[in-house]
Amino acid sequence: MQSSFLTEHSPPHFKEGARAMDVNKLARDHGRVVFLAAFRILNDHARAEDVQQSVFLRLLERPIPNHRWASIEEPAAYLSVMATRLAIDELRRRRRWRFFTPDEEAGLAGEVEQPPAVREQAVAAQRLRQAIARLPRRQAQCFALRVFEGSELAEIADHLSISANTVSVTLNRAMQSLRKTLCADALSSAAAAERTSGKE
Amino acid sequence: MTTNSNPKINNSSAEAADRDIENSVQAIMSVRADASTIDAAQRKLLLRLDKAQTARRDTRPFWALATAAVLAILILPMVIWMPGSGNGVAFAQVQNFFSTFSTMRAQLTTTMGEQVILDMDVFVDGSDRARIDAEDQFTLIVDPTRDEFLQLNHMLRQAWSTPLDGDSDSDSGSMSESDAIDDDPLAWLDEIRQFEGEADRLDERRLIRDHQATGFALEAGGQSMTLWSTDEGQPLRLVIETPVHEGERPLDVQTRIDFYFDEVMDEAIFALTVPEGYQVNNIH
Repeated sequence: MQSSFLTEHSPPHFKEGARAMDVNKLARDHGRVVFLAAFRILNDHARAEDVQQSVFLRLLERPIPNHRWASIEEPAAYLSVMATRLAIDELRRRRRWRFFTPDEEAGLAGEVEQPPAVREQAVAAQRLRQAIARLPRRQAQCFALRVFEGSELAEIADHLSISANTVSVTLNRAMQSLRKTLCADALSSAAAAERTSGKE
Repeated sequence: MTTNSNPKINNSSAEAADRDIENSVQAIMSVRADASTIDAAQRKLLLRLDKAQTARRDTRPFWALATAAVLAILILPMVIWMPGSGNGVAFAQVQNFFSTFSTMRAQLTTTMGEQVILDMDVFVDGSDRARIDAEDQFTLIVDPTRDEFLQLNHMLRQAWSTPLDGDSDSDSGSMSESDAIDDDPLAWLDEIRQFEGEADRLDERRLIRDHQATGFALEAGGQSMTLWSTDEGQPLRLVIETPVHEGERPLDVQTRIDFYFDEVMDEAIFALTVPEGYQVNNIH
């Protein structure tokens, strides 16, 4: 799990002074960041919107105690982490109901007039999302926080109330599972392509 | 995926898989949402928050006070259990009552000036199952033995069933969603653990429910409390002064909690059964 890309991709985290929590102001200042954090994982505007609203409604319902909030240096990063965790739950939930929802990769295939490189990227992104959805929840959370939010191990440990060592082990397991899943996907795609070309 | 005994091949396929993952991550990170969609989402978010806050305004004082009262009763044993907080033999005996009861019932009455603004009954048994009834408004039942938390809103006739354990998901690949909730219903424990209290025995004695009572003054959680107990250390009453302000004006809010220990309690008190006619919302 030492690959450099794990630390390279993170949205901008805004350094801000600690202050009492004002949910309206947080929503105004960071609502867009929260939306994007959810959208990256879900690739679905409506669901990202749901997650965005859930993040702030939760804060409204269950405000973080002032002393705890004051210790949070980067509210945007904190909110993004909340969004990422909720989006992971949504992604996994959606996978469970996949029999009742259209196949998204099939949907991608149906998109018209995309340059091959763009389409290839979209398919790769969607495959990774699907692979993440198949991970156990904790692994999916650790992976997403690490690669999409650029969180340090200690930060992830803090967010998930587990030890940094557990985060490290969980990330390794997540990577192993993702390698397996994506390799299997690649093999089956290659086999399918071979069959198609054989028919032709 | 088949395994290969050749380490070079294994390494190269792992590297290829890592490159695949890296490319996919980059693809995801490069995804851009439509700006007008983000703006629309932002507008809806602010509207939704505004509506939610308007809806909450009517109920906030009630819930704030209810929470304060419930916290107070939950805080109390921790304050008393705290090493060094005791002040004499009677206090150690008080501690004993809170740690060894088979059942505890507490009646909470919160007043603002002369006006009663909240009445609640709390039931706790030796397994830490707890039930809180706030008049005809809501009921909370916490059952740690079954990891369940049931909330009933009697006015809306709604029930929410929530798992208690917020982090029970293992990496076994289980499909359990029991940790789908980030908000731990027992988060108050964090708060409680930060409290530090000192108990000072008062010179004054009072007659409470036919008992001569000794008072102990406590400061915990920014609140002044007075605990009255019998000479045998049985807690009788806790009086809490809650600092509540309406703007700049301090309000005279006081919560009185009367304790009753080791009464026989019907098992139905802690039943997690949703009453007929209630809409059930499972949060799993």
